[in-house]
Amino acid sequence: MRAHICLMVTSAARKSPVRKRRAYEYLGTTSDGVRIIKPPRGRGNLTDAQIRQIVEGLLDSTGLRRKSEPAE
Amino acid sequence: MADGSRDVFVNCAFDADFKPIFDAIVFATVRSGFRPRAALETDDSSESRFAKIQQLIEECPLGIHDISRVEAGGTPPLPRFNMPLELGVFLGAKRFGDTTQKRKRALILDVERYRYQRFMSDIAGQDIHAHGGDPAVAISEVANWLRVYSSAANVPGGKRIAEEYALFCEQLPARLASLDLHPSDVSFNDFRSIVSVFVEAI
Repeated sequence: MRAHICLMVTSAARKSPVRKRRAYEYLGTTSDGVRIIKPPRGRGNLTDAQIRQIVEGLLDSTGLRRKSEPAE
Repeated sequence: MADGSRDVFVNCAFDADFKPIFDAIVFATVRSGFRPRAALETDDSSESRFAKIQQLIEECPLGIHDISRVEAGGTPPLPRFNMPLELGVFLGAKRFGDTTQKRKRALILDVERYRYQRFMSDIAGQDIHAHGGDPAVAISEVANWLRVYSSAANVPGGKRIAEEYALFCEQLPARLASLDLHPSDVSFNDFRSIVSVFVEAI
């Protein structure tokens, strides 16, 4: 019995600490179904409005703006 | 993948000469549905740079290590060893860490496939991939590698991501200039945000 309890304790002690699964916020999904992770906010030099303005210009000038709904 | 994390540690040189490859790796990582992370993402001077790097390595189950910038420079000319050092920490975490750390996976890139044997022969046996200094090839290598760890069925191939990246790079300077910004004003965090918002809309 004692040996059995010892084994149980050893087994429990060997288990790694429980790790929380990383929870991501997602920006959305591309037209081909890839989920894009939202980057952390507020750590850059540019404001959200500047980033949005740059991206809007890029989408127009590259012609890559999505034309269809994201794939499931 | 290790604890569901989609964080990818990008271990590269950050100088201007290497920026095209670094930016290409960041773009390919975001486009594949992962989150690139680098020592540049924090600017807290109270924390040592190496402590930041160790924390990033611990948090990232995947690592992209470009060891191509080891050329000697300066006076007297000396090689740069930061990238091999960080690769060593990453491989050490995988070897000696807990169950999560042992699941780490690394992509090692160099200019030529077998050049590392002349300066880092102890990693012989690792599968080193070559990008030849070409951002499009680097994108292809990263995209092909990340696809294995992606749960998404439709992650595009490297060729298509490289085409998107070429268009993105062609237009970015003009878009920045329209806001009186120069590419050097764009931090890593800004670039990652621009790429993420852009990619989500295509």
